[in-house]
Amino acid sequence: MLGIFSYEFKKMNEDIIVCRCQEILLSQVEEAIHLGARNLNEIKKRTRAGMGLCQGRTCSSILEKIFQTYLGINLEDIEPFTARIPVRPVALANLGSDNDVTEQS
Amino acid sequence: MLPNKADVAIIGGGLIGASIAYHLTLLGVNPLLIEKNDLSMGTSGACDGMLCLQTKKPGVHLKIALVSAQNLKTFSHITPIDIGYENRGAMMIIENEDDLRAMESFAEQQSKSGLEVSLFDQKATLEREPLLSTKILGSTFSTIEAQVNPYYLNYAFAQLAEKNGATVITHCEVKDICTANSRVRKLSTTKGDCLVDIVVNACGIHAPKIGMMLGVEIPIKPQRGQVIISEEMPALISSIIITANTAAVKYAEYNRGINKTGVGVEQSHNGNLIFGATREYVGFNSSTTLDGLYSISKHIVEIFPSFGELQVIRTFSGLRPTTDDGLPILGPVEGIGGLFIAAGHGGDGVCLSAVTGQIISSLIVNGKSDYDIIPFSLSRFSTSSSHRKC
Repeated sequence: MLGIFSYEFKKMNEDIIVCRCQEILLSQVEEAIHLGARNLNEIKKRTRAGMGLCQGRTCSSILEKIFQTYLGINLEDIEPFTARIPVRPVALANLGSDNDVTEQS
Repeated sequence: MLPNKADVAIIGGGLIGASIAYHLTLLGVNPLLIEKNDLSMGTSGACDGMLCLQTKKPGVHLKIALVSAQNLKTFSHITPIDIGYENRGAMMIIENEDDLRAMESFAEQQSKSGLEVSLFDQKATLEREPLLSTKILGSTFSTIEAQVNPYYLNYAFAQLAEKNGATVITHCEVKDICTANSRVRKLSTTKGDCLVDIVVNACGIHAPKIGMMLGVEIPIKPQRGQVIISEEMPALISSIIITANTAAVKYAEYNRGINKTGVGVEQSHNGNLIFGATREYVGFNSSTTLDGLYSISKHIVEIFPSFGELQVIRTFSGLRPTTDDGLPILGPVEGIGGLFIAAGHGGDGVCLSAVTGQIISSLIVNGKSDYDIIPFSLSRFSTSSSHRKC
């Protein structure tokens, strides 16, 4: 298990980056929960956590842990980020196309 | 906590509901805004943020859109919350002779409705947007168009409304509404009951469901728009870009079931490029499909060849609340006292959010609006109502 999982968010003295792609801080996530966000998709809208290059593949487990800590929600009850195409970044010309444009060039 | 009574209850915490809440507080009413999820989690959170006027039907539609765009510009100056407002102007790309003829007459009609549109030849178009393909013929351009971050605008309306005295309750679903003496009387929700004098149905694609609680049929259908998001890039375009056939797809042939794609491009404040969008009637299915996405990416690469190499990081789809004539439904519902509707904005909700708030708040407080709302009435459709009592 990742080291971050053993941290106690509420006892930390310093702010940490939760979403490294968008550089979203724990304090911003706390603020979003305070404003009413109750699942990962709602956190994403309010903070941009999960909107970067990795699309939440890094921060979603940290965000789930934050929800568990702050709201007492069981991990299995937390609605994950909506899964969408593409799984990893893909060139626009290749999206949905049979031709691999970037391979040809 | 849900209050046990409210003078005005607005159902729906999207852009339209939040704007109505904000505008009511400006007229001295402190409404209750109820949302079943968090704010901006439906259509308002799954769209682009274009305040586009050239795609509006010349006439009453364009008229209120012009007012709304101006009001949003003013709002961007007064709100302490950044709504990402950028006055970039919008360019409609003309790709063939048919588009050219259509746009020449469309631009003339728009000028008559008060929207100044310039016709650019290919040279002037490429000077403004050098990454466009040299295959395009030209464009129309209007300077007053802008973009916003739709959910930041949603939060801004709601937070200012709350600061002015409104009550915002999220994660609270309205399960039933009942009437007494032919007036709305009580909301039953997942957080308890609330006695009400006035109810505003601002539920977008879910407005028909709320309508059915009162036996009111509301002809709004979800229309899916699939959207592609690129990685963050330095400025690649300076304007909002829309292909001219978008206007044709929207109005010239308002055919249900035909899945045509006009495309638009917007570069967000963060640098992501937003490519949209399909127009599909597939019920409440909000998935993205390879066919739908390809119809967008193919067309984008035709007009911006170098964009083919941009990395796509995400796709999403939103469900536009559409009506058969492309206009929203605004105003009181005949036969049920205290019931108002503000829904069915299609793909124009961001642009029309401000004026919708202004119209509905004025109808509630003053009993009249500064604008002719007859073209927006529910009664323009032949619908039925047979409400139940408390």
